[in-house]
Amino acid sequence: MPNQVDSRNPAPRARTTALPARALILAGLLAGSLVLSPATGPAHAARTAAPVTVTVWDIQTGVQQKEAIAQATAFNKAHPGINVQYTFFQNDPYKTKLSIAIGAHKGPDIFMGWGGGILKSYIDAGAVADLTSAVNADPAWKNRYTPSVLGPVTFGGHIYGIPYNATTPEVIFYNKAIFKQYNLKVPTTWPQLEQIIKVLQSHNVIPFSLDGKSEWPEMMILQYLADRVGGSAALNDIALRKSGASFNTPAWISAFTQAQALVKANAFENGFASFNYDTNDSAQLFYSGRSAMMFMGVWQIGNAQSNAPKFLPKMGFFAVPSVPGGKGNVNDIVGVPANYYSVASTSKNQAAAIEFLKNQLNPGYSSWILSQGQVPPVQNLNTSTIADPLVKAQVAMLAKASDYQLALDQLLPPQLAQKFLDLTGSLFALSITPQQFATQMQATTAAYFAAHH
Amino acid sequence: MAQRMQVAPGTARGRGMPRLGLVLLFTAPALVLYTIYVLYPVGVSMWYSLLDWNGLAAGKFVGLSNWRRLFQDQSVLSSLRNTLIILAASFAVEMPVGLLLAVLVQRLRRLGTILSSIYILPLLMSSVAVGITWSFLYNPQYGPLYYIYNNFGQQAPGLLGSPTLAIWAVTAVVLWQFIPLYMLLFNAGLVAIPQELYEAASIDGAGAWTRFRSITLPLLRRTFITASVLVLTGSLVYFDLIFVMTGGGPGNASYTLAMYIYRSAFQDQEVGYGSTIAVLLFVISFIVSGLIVRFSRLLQGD
Repeated sequence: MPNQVDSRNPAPRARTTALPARALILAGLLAGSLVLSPATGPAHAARTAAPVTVTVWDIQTGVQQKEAIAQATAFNKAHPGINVQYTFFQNDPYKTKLSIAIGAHKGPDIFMGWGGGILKSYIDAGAVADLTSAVNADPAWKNRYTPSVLGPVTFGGHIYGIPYNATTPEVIFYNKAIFKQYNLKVPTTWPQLEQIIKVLQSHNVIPFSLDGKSEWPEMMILQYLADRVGGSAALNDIALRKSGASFNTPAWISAFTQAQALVKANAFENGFASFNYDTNDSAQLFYSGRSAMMFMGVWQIGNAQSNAPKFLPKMGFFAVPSVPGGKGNVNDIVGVPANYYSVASTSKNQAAAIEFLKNQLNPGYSSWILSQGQVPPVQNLNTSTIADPLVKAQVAMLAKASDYQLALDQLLPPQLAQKFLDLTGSLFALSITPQQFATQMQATTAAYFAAHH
Repeated sequence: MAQRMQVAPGTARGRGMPRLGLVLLFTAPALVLYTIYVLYPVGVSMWYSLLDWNGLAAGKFVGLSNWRRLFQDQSVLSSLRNTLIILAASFAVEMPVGLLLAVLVQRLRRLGTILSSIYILPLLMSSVAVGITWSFLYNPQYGPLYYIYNNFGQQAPGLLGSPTLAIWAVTAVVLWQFIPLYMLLFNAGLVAIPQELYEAASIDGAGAWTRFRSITLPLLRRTFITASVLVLTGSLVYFDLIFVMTGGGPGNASYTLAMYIYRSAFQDQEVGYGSTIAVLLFVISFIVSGLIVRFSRLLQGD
């Protein structure tokens, strides 16, 4: 089921800025529709005008970045009137940089994002162009995508983003060679996983490598545990502000407790709290065989292709096991349904930007994604010719997914997301108890929802 | 009679007025820049501290509620504590060691010049490069600590991930990076001391330590004051290595005030609350600067 943050009651402060922002969006749409309506209009007009520059901010690295640039170059050739220019950033610095740029109305024409709470905060500030009419005007474009992938960028029935890359569920990667060496089988229940951890420790293999400093890898574990214990409603209901939904509930406290149990059992590498995902710290442990498993999104496959191609044959994954007595469906997945390109409402080149968006996830690029071991969120995927076992496994997992929940730090509003991440760091450092986490998180959440309707 | 009625030269009416005008003219550019980039933002921050604002949409006036929240916020206390740790450690280590190195470098003459260009390197490196490199050095699985501890069959401590030790681990790197600055400062101060004083003192039979205590230290008073100002103001707003090496973590264990401001304003999207902490930091810095000025007047005596 697609996730939609409830936008029936926009924040009062949004209303005070809405009028000029709405006028701008309306003007942009009018201009856009005027340009897009005649079929030969853009190409003809473009040949006589100077090329329009469309700036794009993105965070892709390695081979994905190279391919993105190649796609843009091909697009620029096919559209002489448009010049798409990419700028790439690192993940965490990008989040801050974008927020500042948007606040100062100096952002790019197109920016990437994850949808969810952060995008909503930009939408409420009137900084994002409404793409609904452009999308609805082109059914071939709209029907390219799987039904649920537009969920995280749809608010109040309006679409604010277009997916452009692979859909990436979060899984547990494991080293197939190590598992074979110690006769370990892929676990389907949490006690089985705990047993595997013990066996690995007895052979001096680090069970899980984890990037504690980045905090969101730890958050992934908590989110999955909460789902396995309390079902997808445990988080979804809070995001939708359903009455009675709370972090201070047995499901969440159980999730926090199980996570701390992992820490206390030394399931993670010594000193995990100083490992940084952005510098590939724990990935190195995994690729070098010093650790046997890694909780991560399937984008890690792309990372392995760039950084450790020789390791790829040993890389496998399995779904997060079920927790005995838990309400969650073991086919629920947590992750990032896609990354999305949104158009800034302050962009002077919205029509050109939308043209570029139409080029996203075209069949050529979708095939490329498959060749990279990932799955594009498109319909009518020809899976018969796929030989890569990792891709086959992902397609199978996505096909039977009972729920696809967006990562918590993107789903919730930024303030709550940061509080959760902070508390996560403290929880894994064993400086707070599960109950303290639940109480403090719920207090912040309740206060935030009370202050921002 | 007429002579006695004449206004004495050099009084305000005489030379003062044009002089004041000249002063204003020459300081105007600096004053203008100062107003735009210091006075105005400080004033605006005070206004923002009264708002609930996410930096994107319009803000909402909430009076003093941010301030009430500030005084109940545990993170502010721990940020203050960490800031004071950096301040105290910097004061206690950077200046004495800087002075020692400066004296050493002076004494060794040519070798000293070579040494000083090596000692200066940490200061010249980018904070981000320093932070990332030291993070690797501190890494308990890859760094030297791992190999040392592994030799004895022990697990290396994960310093940057420890709630209690992270701030100390980062402070150590801060000290490493900034000691050369004080070496430079004191070097300049030492060069200004006339050699005849030392010669006269050794003729009078003063030993090395007495010469140091009675000649070097007193004549470095001005340098000490300058150095103190730099240490205190630099430590209060310190941000770089905290951001790169721990990000304030784990949790909020290694926040400094500047880091917490950054977190609130830019990551939590709470520019209003971030401004409140910033105003607090401004007030603290103002008080500290005032004390330094007072203290330096006292110290200079003359």
